[in-house]
Amino acid sequence: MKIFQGNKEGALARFRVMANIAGVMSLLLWLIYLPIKLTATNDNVPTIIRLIAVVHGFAYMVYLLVTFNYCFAVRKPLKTAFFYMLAGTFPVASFIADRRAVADFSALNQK
Amino acid sequence: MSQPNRVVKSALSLLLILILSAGFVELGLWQLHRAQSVSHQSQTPPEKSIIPLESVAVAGHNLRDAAYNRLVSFAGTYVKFYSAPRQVLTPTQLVDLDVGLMSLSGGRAILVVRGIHDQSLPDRSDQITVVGRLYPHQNEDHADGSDSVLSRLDPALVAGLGKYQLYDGYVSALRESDATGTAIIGNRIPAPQIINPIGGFYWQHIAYVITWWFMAILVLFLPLYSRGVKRKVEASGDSPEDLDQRGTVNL
Repeated sequence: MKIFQGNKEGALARFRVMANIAGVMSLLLWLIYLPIKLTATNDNVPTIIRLIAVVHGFAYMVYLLVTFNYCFAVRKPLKTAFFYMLAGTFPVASFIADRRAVADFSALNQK
Repeated sequence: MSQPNRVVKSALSLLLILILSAGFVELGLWQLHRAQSVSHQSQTPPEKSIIPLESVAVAGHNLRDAAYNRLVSFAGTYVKFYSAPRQVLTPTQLVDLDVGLMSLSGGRAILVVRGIHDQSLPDRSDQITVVGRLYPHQNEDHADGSDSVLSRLDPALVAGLGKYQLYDGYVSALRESDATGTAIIGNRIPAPQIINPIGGFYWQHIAYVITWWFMAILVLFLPLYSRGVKRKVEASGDSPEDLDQRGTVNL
């Protein structure tokens, strides 16, 4: 499987997996966890909803790692790497980052 | 770029990296302390002995933190009765409470939550001894108030009676007894120790601790990242100018 390969394709595959996981978790965090938490009385948030924040926290950390790995593998400039890392914190942004990474990767391979 | 400018730029970059990294470490520590607080505060502290009200609180003064949750006893006579509607008994159960203003010796008075407002507790004007738990006053209204209805459990609402030095907070009665020592029976409410709600829960904060500290490490690696990428580009035979064309993404 590509995600276990040590080359650029492997780095891209790992980045894509985590970009989608972080994207889904960001959507859940912004659209479900935060509205419930902000409207809850006495911070009375169900455990299953709190787990969204926990999973998002760990998923984002792994996302940062694989983004760092991917950007270094394909020699992205620091500014671009920074934007890719930031994309994991906003809903939908990491999906866009995923699409752009695939497009950039195809363009690089065609050169 | 001249040599002094390069030194200044490097020093400023280093300073920025150190500040950012220290900031992330500090944010991680903040989350770690929150995790520790959640861990400590989710455990109910051991119950302390019953003490006289005047030994832990002073009429006319704000309650000290140490007074909250204490089991206290005092004796006096009820001078006025109220109902306190829509009080939260459990997260899913709202009840109307029976509340009395008890006059104590020395012109002092305190609000006492006697039990559920269902006529099970008779309005009495004789000397009554109360044992109950001391709570801080409420800040949010639960209902519309009137002369006999308290919108929240707050002695400020009965301050208009004038002649009393009121204790801050209120007592939720666990038991009442008359001058002969006979218990007054009625529908009391549970008076558990309150635990300060702290946002989040343990593993949520630990997840953020790891993320912040990882960010701190990442920031320290940033200078090495740029250098590493440049070296890779040079090794591949491309010119450094190609770097920005290698898929710079504007998200």
